[in-house]
Amino acid sequence: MQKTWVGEEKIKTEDLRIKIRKRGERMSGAIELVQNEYLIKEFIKTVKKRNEQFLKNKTSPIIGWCNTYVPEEIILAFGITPYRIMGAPTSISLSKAYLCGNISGNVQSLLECALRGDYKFLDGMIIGASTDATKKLFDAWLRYAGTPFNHLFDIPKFIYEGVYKHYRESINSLVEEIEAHFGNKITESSLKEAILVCNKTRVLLTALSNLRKDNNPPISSLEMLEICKLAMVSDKRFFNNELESLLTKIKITDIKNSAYRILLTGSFQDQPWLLESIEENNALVVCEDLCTGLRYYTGLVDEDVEPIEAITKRYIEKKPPSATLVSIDQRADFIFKLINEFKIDGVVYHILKFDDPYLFEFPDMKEFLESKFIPMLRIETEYTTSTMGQVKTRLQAFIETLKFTKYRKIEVDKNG
Amino acid sequence: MDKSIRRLEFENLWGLLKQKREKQSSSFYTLKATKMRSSLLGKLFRRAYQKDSVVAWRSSFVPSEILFALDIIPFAPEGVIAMFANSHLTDEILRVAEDHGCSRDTCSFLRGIEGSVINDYMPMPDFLIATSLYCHGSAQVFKSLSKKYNKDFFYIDVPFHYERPYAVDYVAKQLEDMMKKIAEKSNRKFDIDKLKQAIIYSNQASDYFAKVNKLRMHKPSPMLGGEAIDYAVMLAHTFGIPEMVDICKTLYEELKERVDKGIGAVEEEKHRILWRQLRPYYTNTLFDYIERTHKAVIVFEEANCVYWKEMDPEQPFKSLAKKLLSNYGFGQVQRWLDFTNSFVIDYSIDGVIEFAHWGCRYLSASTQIVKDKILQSKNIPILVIDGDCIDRRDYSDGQVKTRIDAFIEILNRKKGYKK
Repeated sequence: MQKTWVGEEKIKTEDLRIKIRKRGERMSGAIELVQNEYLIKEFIKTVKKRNEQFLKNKTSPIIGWCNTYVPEEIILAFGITPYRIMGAPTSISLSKAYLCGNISGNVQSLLECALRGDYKFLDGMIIGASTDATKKLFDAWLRYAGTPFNHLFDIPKFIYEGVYKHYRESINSLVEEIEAHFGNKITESSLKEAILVCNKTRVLLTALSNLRKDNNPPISSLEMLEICKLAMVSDKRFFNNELESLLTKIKITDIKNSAYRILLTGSFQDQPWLLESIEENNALVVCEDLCTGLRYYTGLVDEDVEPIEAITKRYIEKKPPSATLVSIDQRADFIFKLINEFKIDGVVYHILKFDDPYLFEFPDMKEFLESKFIPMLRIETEYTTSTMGQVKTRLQAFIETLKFTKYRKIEVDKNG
Repeated sequence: MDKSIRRLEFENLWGLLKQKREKQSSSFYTLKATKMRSSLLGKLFRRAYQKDSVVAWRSSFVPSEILFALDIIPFAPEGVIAMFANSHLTDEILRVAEDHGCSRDTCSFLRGIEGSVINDYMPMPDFLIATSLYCHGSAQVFKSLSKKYNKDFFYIDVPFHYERPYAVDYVAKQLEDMMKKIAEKSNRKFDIDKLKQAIIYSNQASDYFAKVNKLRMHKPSPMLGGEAIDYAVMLAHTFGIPEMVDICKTLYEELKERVDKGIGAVEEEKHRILWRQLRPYYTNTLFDYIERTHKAVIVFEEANCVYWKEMDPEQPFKSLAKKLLSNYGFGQVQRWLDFTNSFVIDYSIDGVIEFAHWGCRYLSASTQIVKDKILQSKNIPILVIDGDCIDRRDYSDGQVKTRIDAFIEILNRKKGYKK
């Protein structure tokens, strides 16, 4: 195996898993489950507390970002803390004055939060130009949000040979503007150090998520979502240390879980209610192909090549694509791989109202999944909880039907 | 897939057109140039359905000059959907697309394309080309259809940061590579001289059209907005051929004559309106009501702006790249604000009307900023009509007219007109 930092870290994380699996004789599964839950709760509490202190006694600048194509490594290399901003599922009133109503709810919510002062602690903001809505969000943000530094990070829309140049230029533009505004310079060593830190976060999150490939997932989707969100807003070095420690303590249980295994894919989703709605129906979300899931932490930056080139390659090639990259073939292949790896019984395709990339992608994805006989449910929601009741009923009916497909699958497997 | 299918596709469409075409008001067509324009678009449309044609589907802003230089028929499905809407064919097409999984919240131009393809109304393409200009959806839909037809898809990636030093060369290289690949795949000669000639035609046509736009600054305005707005389709799709030069020249001469003689588009022009975005294509009565009933002449439509500079035929790809990058609606909104500001001043605008297309996130989202940063300080009222350019199912003629009445009332009060 290649002796790179990344390779070593992979081995290291693999070791962690082996340690976890070999951990002495097992106690009864129920106790382990309770212990896991406690450990995760403690971890979340510790990281949140540290974040609160960090925001209170700020010693370095913080730059907000949205969209997983914005390279956190670059921000970190400047000694600035990257902080993913996420909206809040409250009603939209202020942002209506600056954005039209037919724009996806999370974009409206981001501006709403900014206008009511939730992001006052930010020294800057980087918006990824991934969709028409986010480009327009930037126009409004620049004029009304009041952040001292603002940058629109251009993201290519299609994977082809020239796309690397486009992305590299976007990085150059970002570096130039941060340098000009904050007055400090990026160095190769600071960039390499930032790559190591971000890679470590990705490795640890992947290891944590992969624990759910087993039949008895020791961590729930709600916990995974919470931890992934924390990774995006925390001091990464502290977060990594804490998560590494958590991973050594989590125990695999023997309790068989017969719940249906669901893959959630689609639009941006950071609210727990959707996951809760799925899981209250004898189903477990064991894999999230979301911007707050696999699309954030899958794929490492190669540390053996020139840093900017390596970062470009990670974001264009290694990171699971989102629909904004007009990448139905890559996305379909990736989802199919996940379905096999995580032993998925059904796919929930979630679309935020007015989120064009997923609205346009859906017919092709539907055709693809149907061709593979994989049960799928499309649900469309507002960013707020206003559609919760309706969605719950649909989810209930879908999970009910999985009984039959799963039974058929078992029969087919049994009879060859 | 055999290209003889195009005959079937044309017959399908023609059958429907004959059945459903309702006589639309042709009273807006007051100019010879407009008839020439319809004739040219009709000719290109019919050629796209011929078996021996090489047809490239193109989204808005893909340079038609390149395709004409290769003797390839540019086919603009979005424009054709507008034509279908004009003939009231879209109800069924949209329903079919929705049954297929397309959401009603997406752009109806694109939904219409999907439905038309399912129903076999569109001529089978040889290539599909999209750009990153404006909306994101067209590239997704074209890419998806390229799989269905098993044809090559080309994508012109135009950086949003158009001012970056690499941008011109980056786009120019893509255009050159695309032309070479298309030439090779379609057995056409990559003839740079033909491209240079297409650029010369394009320059001549845009020069005349820019002069037309200048004539429209005159009081009274020599042209109805209802007639002018459909030139936007042609501006996006037919640059690079001599017929386009003839049309623009004729249009210029006709308007010049009207201006010289002091003939206005309507008698007693009362208000001068700037129109933003496109129009509802299923009704012609809206413009009639604004312009002829209320004498509020739409003196300019933003979609008809000649925003690019004269191109250098000796550097065809760089010139076309610069044209793409200079699109005022692309990039941060400040450039658009500057253009709107100059339109308001140059055309002596009294009021602005915007038809906010439901499925468009890109154009509608800037309205509030335009209002806040440009119009309020100049005390110019704006009317935003929320609607859909293609889907007529939710359109209420009476409601829209009531809103227009109220808007005209504001303009009248401002000018001190009595009812």
